[in-house]
Amino acid sequence: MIRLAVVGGHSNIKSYSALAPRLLSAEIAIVVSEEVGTQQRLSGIAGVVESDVGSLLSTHSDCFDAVVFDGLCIDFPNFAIALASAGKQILVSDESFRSIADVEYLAEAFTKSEARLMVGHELRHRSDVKPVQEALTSGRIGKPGLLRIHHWKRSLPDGSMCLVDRMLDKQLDLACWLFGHPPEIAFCRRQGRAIDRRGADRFDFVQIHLGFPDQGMALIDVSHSEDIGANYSTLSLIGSTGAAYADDHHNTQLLIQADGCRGQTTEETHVPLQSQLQDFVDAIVENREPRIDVDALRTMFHVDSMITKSVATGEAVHWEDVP
Amino acid sequence: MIKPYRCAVLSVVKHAYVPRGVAAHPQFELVVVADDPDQPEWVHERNQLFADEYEIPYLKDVDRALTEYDVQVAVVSSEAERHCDLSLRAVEAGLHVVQDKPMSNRLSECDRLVEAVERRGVKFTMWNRNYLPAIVHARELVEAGEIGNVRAIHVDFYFAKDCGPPLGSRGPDDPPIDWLEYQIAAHADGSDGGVGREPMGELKIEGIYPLAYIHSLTGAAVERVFARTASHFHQVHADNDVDDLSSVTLEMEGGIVGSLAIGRIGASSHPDIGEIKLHLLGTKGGLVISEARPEVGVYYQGQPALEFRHQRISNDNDFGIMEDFSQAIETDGETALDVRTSRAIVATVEAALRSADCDQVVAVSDV
Repeated sequence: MIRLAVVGGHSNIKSYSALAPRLLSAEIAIVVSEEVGTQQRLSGIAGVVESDVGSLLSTHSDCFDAVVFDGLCIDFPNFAIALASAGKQILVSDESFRSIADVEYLAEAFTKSEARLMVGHELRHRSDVKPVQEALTSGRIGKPGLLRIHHWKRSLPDGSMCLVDRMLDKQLDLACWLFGHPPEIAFCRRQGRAIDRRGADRFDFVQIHLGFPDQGMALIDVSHSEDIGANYSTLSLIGSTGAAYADDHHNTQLLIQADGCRGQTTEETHVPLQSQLQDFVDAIVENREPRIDVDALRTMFHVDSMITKSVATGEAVHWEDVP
Repeated sequence: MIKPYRCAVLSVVKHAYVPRGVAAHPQFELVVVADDPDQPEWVHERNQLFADEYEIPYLKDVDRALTEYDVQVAVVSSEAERHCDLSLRAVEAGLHVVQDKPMSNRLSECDRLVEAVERRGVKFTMWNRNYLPAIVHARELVEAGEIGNVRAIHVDFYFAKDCGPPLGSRGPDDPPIDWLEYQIAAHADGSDGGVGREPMGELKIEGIYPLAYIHSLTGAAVERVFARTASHFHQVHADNDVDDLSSVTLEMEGGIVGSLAIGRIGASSHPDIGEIKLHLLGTKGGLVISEARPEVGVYYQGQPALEFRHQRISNDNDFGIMEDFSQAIETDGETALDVRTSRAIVATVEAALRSADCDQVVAVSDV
């Protein structure tokens, strides 16, 4: 049984509660969160609840085998290296890496360690994405030709806005994963510059156009705006012998009331996170390398640089155009 | 009722949906089919068949049809490279013109037609799909301000149709597929949308439809484009170095961002005619429209594999185009897809193809 320590988890409280009894060969042994609400909600699934991340190694080192970083962690790279030195396996969200320097620093440290560093790309584990990827890898839809993603997200009730660029990063990873290769060229347009309620300057719409080797292409648009009242996501992948469509529009249900009719989609809850955690646990149990390593992050940061340059110049940018 | 406009059909070598659509409106009457005498025999055969079906004469003399049959409207549905020439001759004879797509495969031809239409003061409309019920619905919602001002518009325009043998099927000793020979043979199964001597990719053949949606819903001109194209499915496209799959980013007037995903993706890629969808983001919300809806599903034992399981309903596109055309003539107004807008669409497609060739963003005004 692999004993997991979850650090953070605030945004996935419901998911952890739901997935805990479903995990195979693993249990959530410790939860570390500064949020009182998170501590209370997750105390029922973990034997130990802590508020100080430093206590993990200083007090509870014998109580866990692996750490799941879910959310931002101060000085994550150095803390991760300390955990690796203690032989702890690590699953970390892609959002924890601030720069390519973080990635290289950790990659080098983990090369010297026996611990695994698995990067969490939750979108790859979505239940509507898996069949698309399986259709591709099985060869049923042939060579990937054109990937189209629309991903629109509603603003949070408190008026805060996540970075639309961060949303885009997740979609970029998905695109590179499905094509099995980084893009050769990128062209990006952003718009909707606005000040959010916290006074931060934001773009709320990004569109990126990618060209992949062997004539592959992707069009991705991401929006995060107060003007969008519900999350909406659609992904289509046109292959040379077939196509796959994962489309919220197809899956919309109707709520009919006295004042009209509204479409509703069923939100995924714990499934992607559970799948990701199970993959991490299985890699430990089977003593194999994780399916997602830091190369995916290197690609993501490089494409980010291409996008930044494309936005600044208004032109398409080739892979080799940025360092 | 006003006396119907008498129409000359100038060549009808493709699917004949344009003259049939014209004839479906009571205000328009087909009275003669005509073409040039030096056309090949297959052209004359198709023209004759159509004339026989409508029990009207077929003349191998365009000028005579234009001058001796008291016609007010020309319906042009020839190979793409002859579209503008036939339309020009009709315009110079003072006729209004309904023309099949694409406007032309030469922008210079479009310019000649724009000049002639405006000089002669006649009406021109390009055949389009802007009056399909879903598009009309989208237009009503946008015009009513339901999503505020449009900021972004995306169109997926995938036709799930085959087009001859699949890519990679040609043997090492087999000759490349001849474009025109293939198109003539493909008339039987309706995959001859690019009929003509000059090979054309899907972006050139079908690009007008999604670009016309975008024009209809935003009214904004396309300023710059970035595009990628591929010959991804069909041997005939690869052999003739034209696209059957493409993606285009559009920078539009007023800061609107747009995109197209377009292709002839093969019959196995979708249970119906294909995924044709519009996504719009506005200052007050978003809109997702399936062009195929409303539709009715019909399934039964022994159903042919290629029969569409979902049938479109409430399709009033033909009448809508011709009603708009009729109104433009009667009120001296503009058609929904007039000659300048049609020319702008050709320029956008040309810019996209140039962008795909050079891997750079291309200004539409530069083509």
